[in-house]
Amino acid sequence: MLDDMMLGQFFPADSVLHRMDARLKIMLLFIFIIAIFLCDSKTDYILLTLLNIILMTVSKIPFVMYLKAVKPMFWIVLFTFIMHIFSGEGTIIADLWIFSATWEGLTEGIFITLRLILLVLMASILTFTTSPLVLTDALESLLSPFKKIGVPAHELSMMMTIALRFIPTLITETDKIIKAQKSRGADFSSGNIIQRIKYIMPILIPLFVSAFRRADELALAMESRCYRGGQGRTRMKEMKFGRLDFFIAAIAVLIIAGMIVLKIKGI
Amino acid sequence: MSIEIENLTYTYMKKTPYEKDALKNVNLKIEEGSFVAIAGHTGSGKSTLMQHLNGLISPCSGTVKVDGVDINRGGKEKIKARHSVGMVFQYPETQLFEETVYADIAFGPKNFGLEPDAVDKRVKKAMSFVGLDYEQYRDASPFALSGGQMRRVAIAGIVALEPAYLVLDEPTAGLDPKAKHDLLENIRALYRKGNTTIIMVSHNMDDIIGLAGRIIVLHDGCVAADGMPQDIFKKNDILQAAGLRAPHLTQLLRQINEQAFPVRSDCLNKSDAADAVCAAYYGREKDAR
Repeated sequence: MLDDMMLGQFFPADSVLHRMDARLKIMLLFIFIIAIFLCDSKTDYILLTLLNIILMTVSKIPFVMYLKAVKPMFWIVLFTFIMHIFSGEGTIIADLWIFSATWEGLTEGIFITLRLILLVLMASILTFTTSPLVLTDALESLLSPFKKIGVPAHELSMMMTIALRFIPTLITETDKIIKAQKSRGADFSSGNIIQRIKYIMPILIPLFVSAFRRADELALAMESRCYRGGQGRTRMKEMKFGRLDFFIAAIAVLIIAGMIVLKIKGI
Repeated sequence: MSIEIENLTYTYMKKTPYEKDALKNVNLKIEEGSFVAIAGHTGSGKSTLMQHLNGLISPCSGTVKVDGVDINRGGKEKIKARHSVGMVFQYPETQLFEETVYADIAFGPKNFGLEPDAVDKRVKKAMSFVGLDYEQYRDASPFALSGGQMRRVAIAGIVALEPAYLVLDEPTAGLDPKAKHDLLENIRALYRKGNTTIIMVSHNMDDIIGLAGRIIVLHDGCVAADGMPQDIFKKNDILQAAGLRAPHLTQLLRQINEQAFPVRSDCLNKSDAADAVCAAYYGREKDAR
């Protein structure tokens, strides 16, 4: 059950996207997200979807993985889709009791669905092709200009690194505790809601106990290795903006410029 | 009655780059009333195998039958069969959650639908089995106990289910020598009582020697060796390939054999070994005379 968590998973491979500077990837994702929200016509969506498919192909990661990343979103997407079909105003397709489905609602629903899926896919491309460690380093580097106005960039990225590092550990731990309590006859899959909530405590309490214990041990381990925050810390692997990155940045700028022109001309 | 495993195969994270075969076509039959040890190095698949025994993991292919019931198919029979296998995980103290020792041990029996009187009896019995004084500890918080005591409470929580088959995964890991010795003695006593089949997973042959009547060596998801302890300990090359070592006693006897005088090396406890060494030593003196 917990094995299938694909969101946020990293897949090592040798592709252009894997070799790219993570900072550039984050910035481009940011721009892409803005672009998705500015989309309002068929051509816009077709172009963005195409770009997305190209990127997914370039990443050399099987499409099945992307499907799995979208899977947890299924119900939310379906819900919004249905909501949109019935909330639009315009030409009516069918009447259902007091609700009526409209063509305008349908197109709007398709657009919103596509928007959500594109968002998840794009974010997945970033996390699939970037190891969590590199990702947080990149964030720290991107946030460092804001240190002057008091943003604790290093601390934030360290917190993220630790959180990301312990997600798999906690998942394994949860899995083990669930199995252990199941072996003691705890039944998580039947009974009414109150009965099920009753069985959450035997999972949550051990999980919290171990999370606190781990936090304590980690703090001690970091202190005993003289960790004192980001001041004057150097890196083993410096992030460098290479030729590949400039090349990709140039392409991205061209695409973005092209899109802005299209937008202004109103196509 | 027995646990029968046929053509069991299990793959982790199927169809991802992280795909890994944990078990490959494993066939085993564990007889009721036996004490079986499953030995193997980290990653040999022993923990995966054990989780199949009460249906926590469903096999990718193959079947697991407990007392003739396929535990991955069918309705009520299946649940009953699963309940007859008690499972003590590695570091079981991490599953404690109740406010008192009593409540934690009673959690399982209550879930199995026992009456309060019966639960009471079970808890008392289980606590005496793991050597915890009922009056002294029943109202103690499990989180205020020492590591060894927490482990015992956790094991008592499973023993209180009175399973026909008790599976223990590395029960002695991380315990100090005294707690380890005591726990192994508790397990031995439980087995001696006669109505529990014990399956103990371990990579430490010193824990297994003198307890298990049969050892199954797992290596890379396959059964590498299966037999009586004496025979298994002789197969040094298989043990080494599987990342294991013969118990210290066997190693000692082997050293005596190689460097001093010939002596039987298939003894399973200290007094046998001492007798064998004496016999060999005096036998040699007699020959010399």
